[in-house]
Amino acid sequence: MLEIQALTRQFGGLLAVNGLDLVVKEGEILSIIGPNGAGKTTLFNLIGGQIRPTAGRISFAGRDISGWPPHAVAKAGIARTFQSTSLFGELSVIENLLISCYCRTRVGLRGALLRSAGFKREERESHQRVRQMLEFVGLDGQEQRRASDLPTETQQRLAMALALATKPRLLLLDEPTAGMNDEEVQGLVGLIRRIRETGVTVGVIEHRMKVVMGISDRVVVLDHGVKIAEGSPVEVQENPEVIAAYLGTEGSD
Amino acid sequence: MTARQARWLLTCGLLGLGVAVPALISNTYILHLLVMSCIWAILAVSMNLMLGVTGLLSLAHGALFGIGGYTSALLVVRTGMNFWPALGLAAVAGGLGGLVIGLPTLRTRGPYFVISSLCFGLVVQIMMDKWEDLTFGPLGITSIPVASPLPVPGIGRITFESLPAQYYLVLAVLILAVFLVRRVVDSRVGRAFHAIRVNEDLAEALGVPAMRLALLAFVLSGMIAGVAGSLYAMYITYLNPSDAGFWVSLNGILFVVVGGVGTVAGPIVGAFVMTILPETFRLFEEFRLLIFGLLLIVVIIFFPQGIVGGVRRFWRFARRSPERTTPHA
Repeated sequence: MLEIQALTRQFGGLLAVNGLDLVVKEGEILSIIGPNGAGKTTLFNLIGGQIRPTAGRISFAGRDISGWPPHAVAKAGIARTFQSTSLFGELSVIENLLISCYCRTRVGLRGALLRSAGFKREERESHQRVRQMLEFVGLDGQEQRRASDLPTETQQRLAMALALATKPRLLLLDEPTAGMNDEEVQGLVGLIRRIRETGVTVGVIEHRMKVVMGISDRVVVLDHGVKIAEGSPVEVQENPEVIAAYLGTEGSD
Repeated sequence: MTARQARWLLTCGLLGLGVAVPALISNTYILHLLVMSCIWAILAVSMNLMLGVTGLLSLAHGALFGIGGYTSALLVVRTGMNFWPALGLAAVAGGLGGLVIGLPTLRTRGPYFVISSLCFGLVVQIMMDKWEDLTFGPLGITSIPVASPLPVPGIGRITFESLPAQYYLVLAVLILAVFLVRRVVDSRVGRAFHAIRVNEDLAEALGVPAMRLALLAFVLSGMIAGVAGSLYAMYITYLNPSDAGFWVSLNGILFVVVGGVGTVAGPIVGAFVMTILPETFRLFEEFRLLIFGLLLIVVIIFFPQGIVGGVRRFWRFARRSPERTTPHA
């Protein structure tokens, strides 16, 4: 569903992503791994429209989305979370979620000023959707809390709920388990699986090998902006190039 | 009594008081101050939509205020147009001004936006000063007529010659402005405005077209500023380029900050306090600005959320309820 061809992004003299070809298949959980500085987050930023590609092509569901602004990418059906959990910190949980209903709602100023029937219906639907999302990620009962007051793991769940409320077909998660203990990681892994069960394709950047091995259908390994391996978790784990990239080959490092 | 009920009661009480004022106060000077307060409050409501809700500190609002004032005053004085359509066109002109100034300036954020909006505002003011054939230049527009009588079905014609009538006019516009802004803010569009203020990158990633919405906020805010300017010109009966100047923007920001950024009541409270209070300092004549400045510093240091925020904090403290998020605006 997502096809990336010869994608390149240059920062000054550095090729953060270099001629990358990548396919995300409908319904799978794809993990993207690689050492620090491999270009994983840059890849997500390129797909999400946060930065523009220097060269190459990103197409999603048959449409060329390369260089689209983030809000258009979101509307096209790709949602993402950010590495440092990104929320509307000073707003309440429910306000956070209502904002992410924006791109799937359409009543404009006139409806809002006149409080039209369409406006009221849409507000009801948005609130209902927000309640569903809260329940789905296990945040029900916390509607009125300030997002920034929540513990890290709960914030990550909220970040996922925000992304899901945009009704994506593809969800990109940037290190969702960062800074969490084993129990919390287990909970999030379960949540990611349940997200896939609802028909959403998932791409995830992950550092914990246990998580990668546990949830991925396929794994792509990046190093220095280049794809060095691709395959099932087991295949990738045994690939000598991958081991070299992570541990360093003899002589170097 | 819940906080909601308390707020309702307070709103109704203040509205009642606002309506009763001309009957209670015969002193024309005080009534004049109240008229000015209402006009400034409309400007403050407009600036709060930008600063408090969308998080954009515009110094072009003096110019938008001036554009509204010049539009309706020139139409009335030069073409003899009726005041009411001229007021509507002042709103349109203010909105257009917001669009034209917003298109280039909204590509920047933070201090860059502040500076660029200031520059565009100054350009507008210079145009008013130099385009003498149209604007009468630095001499300004004199003897701007009072609002034309308004025919109301069932009641007859309302005239606006008297001070109380003008007071009711500006009060009604203020209430209408607050009401409409509330409805916008309490909708998906308004929530998107908040989202831009709090975390623009995340808002974009969640499908909020930030540039388009910031522009919309600028246009709406410009329309309200234009209306305020039009009422000002009509009430003062005189308008010159300095009424479109930097000091108007600065006062607007002052009202919003002192009253309480991002709250509904804040800009109104700020406009009333900052219009009426300095007048009471007249006794101290040359120390007036000094006292004014000190007061401002005290407010900013001890009440970063302004008067309204301070009152809220006190209220919460008095009730000993735990801190919780308050819905914005």
